[in-house]
Amino acid sequence: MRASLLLLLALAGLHAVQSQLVIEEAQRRIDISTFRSGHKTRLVIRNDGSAGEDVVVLCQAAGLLDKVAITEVALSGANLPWSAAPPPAGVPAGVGCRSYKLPEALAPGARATLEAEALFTHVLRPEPAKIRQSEPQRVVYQDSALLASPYRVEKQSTEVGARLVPRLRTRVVTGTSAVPSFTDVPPSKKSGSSLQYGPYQDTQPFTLKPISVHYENFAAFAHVPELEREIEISHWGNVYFEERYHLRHAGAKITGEWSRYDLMTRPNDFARGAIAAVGATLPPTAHSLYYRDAIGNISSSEARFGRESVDVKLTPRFPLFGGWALQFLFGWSMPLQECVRKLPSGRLLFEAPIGPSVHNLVVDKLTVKVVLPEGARDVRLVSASGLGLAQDPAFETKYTYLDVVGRPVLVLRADNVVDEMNVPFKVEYSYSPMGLLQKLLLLVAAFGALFAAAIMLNRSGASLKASSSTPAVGKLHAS
Amino acid sequence: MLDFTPAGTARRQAYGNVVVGLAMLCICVLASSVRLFSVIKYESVIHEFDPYFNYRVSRFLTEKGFYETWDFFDSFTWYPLGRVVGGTMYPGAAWVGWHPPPPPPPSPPQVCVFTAPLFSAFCALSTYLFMKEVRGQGAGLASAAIIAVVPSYISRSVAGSYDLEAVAIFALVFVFYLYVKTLNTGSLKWATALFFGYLYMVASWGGYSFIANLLPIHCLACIVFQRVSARLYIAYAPWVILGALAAANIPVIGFNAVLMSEHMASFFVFGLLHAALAIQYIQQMLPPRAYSAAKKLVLTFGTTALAVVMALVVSYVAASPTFGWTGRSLSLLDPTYASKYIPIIASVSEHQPPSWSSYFTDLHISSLLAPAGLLLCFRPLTDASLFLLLYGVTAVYFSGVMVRLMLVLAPAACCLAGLALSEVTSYLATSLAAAQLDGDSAQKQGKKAEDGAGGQVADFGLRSTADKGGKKGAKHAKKSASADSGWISDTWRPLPKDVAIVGLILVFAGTSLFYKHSVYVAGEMYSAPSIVLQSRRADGGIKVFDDFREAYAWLSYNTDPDAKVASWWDYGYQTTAMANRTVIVDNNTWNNTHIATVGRAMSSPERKAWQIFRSLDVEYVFVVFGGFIGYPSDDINKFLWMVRIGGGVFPEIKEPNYLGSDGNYRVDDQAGKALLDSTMWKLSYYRFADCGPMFGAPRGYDRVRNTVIGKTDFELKYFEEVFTSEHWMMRIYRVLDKPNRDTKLRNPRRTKVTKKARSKRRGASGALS
Repeated sequence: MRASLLLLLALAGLHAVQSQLVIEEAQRRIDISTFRSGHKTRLVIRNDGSAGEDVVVLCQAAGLLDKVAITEVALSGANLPWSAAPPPAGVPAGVGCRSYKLPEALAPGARATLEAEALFTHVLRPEPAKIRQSEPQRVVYQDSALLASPYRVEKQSTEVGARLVPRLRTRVVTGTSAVPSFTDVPPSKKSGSSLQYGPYQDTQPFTLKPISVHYENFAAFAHVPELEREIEISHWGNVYFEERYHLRHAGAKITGEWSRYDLMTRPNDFARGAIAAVGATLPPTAHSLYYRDAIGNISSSEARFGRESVDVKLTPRFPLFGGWALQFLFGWSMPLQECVRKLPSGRLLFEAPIGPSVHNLVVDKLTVKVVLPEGARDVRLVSASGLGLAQDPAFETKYTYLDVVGRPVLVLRADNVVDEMNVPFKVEYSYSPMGLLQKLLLLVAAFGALFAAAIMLNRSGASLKASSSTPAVGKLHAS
Repeated sequence: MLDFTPAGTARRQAYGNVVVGLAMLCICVLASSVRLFSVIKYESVIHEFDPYFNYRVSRFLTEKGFYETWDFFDSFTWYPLGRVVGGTMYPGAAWVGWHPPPPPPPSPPQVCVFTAPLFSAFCALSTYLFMKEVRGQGAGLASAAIIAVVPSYISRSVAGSYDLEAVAIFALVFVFYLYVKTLNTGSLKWATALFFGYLYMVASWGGYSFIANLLPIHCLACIVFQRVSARLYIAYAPWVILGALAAANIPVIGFNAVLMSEHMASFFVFGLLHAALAIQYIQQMLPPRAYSAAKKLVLTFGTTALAVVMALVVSYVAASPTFGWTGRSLSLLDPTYASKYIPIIASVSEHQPPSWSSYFTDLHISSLLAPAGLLLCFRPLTDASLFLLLYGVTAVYFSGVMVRLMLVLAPAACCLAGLALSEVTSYLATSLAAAQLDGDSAQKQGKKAEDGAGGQVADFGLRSTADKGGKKGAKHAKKSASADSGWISDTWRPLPKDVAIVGLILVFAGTSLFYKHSVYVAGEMYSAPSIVLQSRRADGGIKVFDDFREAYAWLSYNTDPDAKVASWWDYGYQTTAMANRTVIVDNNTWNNTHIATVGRAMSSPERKAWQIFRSLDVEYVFVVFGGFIGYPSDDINKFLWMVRIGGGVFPEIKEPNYLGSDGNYRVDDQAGKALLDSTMWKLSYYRFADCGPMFGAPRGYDRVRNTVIGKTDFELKYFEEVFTSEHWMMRIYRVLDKPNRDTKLRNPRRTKVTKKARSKRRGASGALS
């Protein structure tokens, strides 16, 4: 079994090398103005072979593929399915590849244009790792000037800089003059807020030119190592959402004196890149918002209840500077009918976004727990693909008030989550409305038992003074 | 005239009980809800300082269980000594806070926040029971209605005030109830209940020693007034022995239960009670002549023996420097003791004697009615009313010694006032009813006079209840009670109808004012949690100052979990509970030297302070500073206590050096030189001078002291600012590993201020002020 797997892998590698595909033109644009780096690549591929090719292998250099949050390769607007492909032996370390299946084989001599987009996290390394409050934050980005490709590339160019990928939201623009150093791979030049590498003509497969860009980056490096979202469905009419954030600033650590006076008087010099607030968007029917931490309510937040959405500005207890961390809870409620609907089959379908409500975060480990009402049966996650789950959904049981058998909990886990992955997920389950009465009956029974016990105790006359009271009662009856 | 047939009485009693039950329900709801202002106006959060310790113990209790809690050694405080929390705390309040483990991350458990309002309702209930035993249902209801909202008690029991007193006042009143109940019934069942009640009281609060002395005083009074009975014996004697055992079982008391002078009175009176009973018995047994001979004999020998025993006790007590009393108790007996010998006790504001106005603020109408209640205790004087009398008199004395003990006076004042209120109302209402009856009977002169009269009385009672709300159900109950207990007797003369009506209106107006005052006080004065401050903005909105939690959260998430944090002891409990860091000193002021060490560090120059902090492994020091927004209870205002406490142990700290040339404590350019050089000054005012222009004041203007500070531009050599909260209320500094070599080089952006310019500016500011 294992041998055959190895053989298969070797074949795949072989395929990559022996493929007759040629990249006619490759245009890469790499945005490194925020905490994440976004890649947008336009590839024109041509089949020089004699047979049809239906698999395209795309690679990334510098270990980037280990830090990928999301990749999409589209052929005329339709995303291609992918599978992991190990790079062939002998290529430089750090190269990772994926093979994409074309909807139909590329005929010999035919051309196709692929649009590839990718988001990588944790690829910007602060250098120096520790700075003073007044110093600008500088980070290093490492990549290759040439596309890591198993195919020959006839012409390619790479652009590195800010605001190159329009789809990405960027908050801070990197200053043009603030690129203290970058690796020069002629022909390369700095223009405006970006670096131009290329065009390079006719490069052989897996020719790499490592580059390193050292520049000032004042983006808020909002990093969430852990995030737990708990969604509790109550069939009394509410769905409760709670998100437990561990937020930290992943930029260069602040060292030495930190001055509030400087922060107040010259925030542009002394608070650049600090996380002063994070924003969240909730559906318009959200209500009962709360924002607190282990020691109570955090009073500095604003919510605007609009027609389209509820926009919340969450201000942490203190502005987060490089290396500082914080934990908080953010929760809200939604009407049940907004989230749960009844299917024709009589089963119930719950639907909600899987990702966090707060924007512009990089979440390392996301755990989503869907707590279903006690008595819910046949819980099933609908359409798990596209959610980017790290593993298959698991089940737990949770006990809260007046639970007898516990509530079924569906646990979903995803790694390296960014905003773009925030898609709705659906959970299907069966629940009988009679289950609502269970807790009520439990209470009635408990109180009934209590009163019955009290009545019995009263009537039984268990008293030490029974001997003296009995004649008195007798006398009363006699008279 | 009234329907005294068994059926009529039973029916009236049944109605009465229902009304009383409803009234008590209303009173309990009121008692709890009037304490919820803090949650509504602020948030559901633990208040002040001490409650944070109870909260922390509750959290430990929840996580580790009851047995572990007895052995709770807290290494997070009093570094490097630690504190044996299990053996040095009163766990009563923390027991209540046991709660199911909260989901991660831990949230402030609501059970701790709402303990105090809940126990206030219990306290109202036990007050009712107590006064019912003392005088009757009417007095019980009136007292419960008063104690439900008495401001003095509210001050310590608003939601979030998870303090010892919040549960202890309930326990106190409940123990009194059990004692009086035992006294009235002579039942061992109630004596057993008294033991358990006392056990909880002892576990809850150091104020148990008040009970431990009040009960003997009452017993002694009974002996002196020749009221000794078997009931007294059953109430008192088991309590002495079992109570001492109960107290000895709480680790914080232990053998103090038999060794300290606080407990001596109960044993002494225990002996006297036996002697008195023995004398009674012998008097019955012997013929009169033999009795007088025996009396002579016993008196001679007894006096000698007593003298020997007394001499032994006195010599034992005298051997102790505090005469066998604990410092806190001694400061009660000798109000000047604390200020002379224990500056830590004297430094706490709630240990100061109260002002007269605070009696009125805290007790309002009950301070006026209580003396009348004292008089009414004599008509008739029973064992129970004697107890109330003694309680009232002693509580008045203790409340005069320190503000904090107003809390002990509050139940006494409420019970006495309730007694007076109930008797007055009952008198007026019965007068009115009698007048009505006279009119009715004159009109009708009919055969149904008797039945009608009974109905009228019942109607009246119900109507008055409906008119004046649940609290006034007292009158109905009181009337039925008074009708039974013989108010309508030969000597009783009703007031004229008009006078009675006017009187009732006055009573109603008085109690209404009291309620209005109480609700106002509960909402405005006593509901601030003190860790969150609010102020009204010009546009009517509310501005929140959440600096303390901001800084504690910073410490908690951004420092090493093992880091030691130094601050003045007031903030110790909060730091351990909210920032979860090890502190040097905290509000449990058990080690004076340790506190003095911190006081010495704060009052010393930077270098000395640095050495002290380094020797204590301190990594962070924070100060509370109000000069930026005008928060008056900051460390600069508390600073003289640091000097005094530090100077009490380390003579090199001399208070006069910190005072200005005129002998006053001041921070302007006349300030004492030692103050200007002290670490506290530097940590408070570091880089503060330039903030003045931000709020339109001269440079270096302090908004608490309302003056320009005496020394503005200086560098720190041994400390480094690492965090300052938004409104500068908390400033955290790191203790540097090694001193900065040249402080002048570190902040090149600072403009140098020449001497000339400074004197110029001073002149300008002087002109401004």
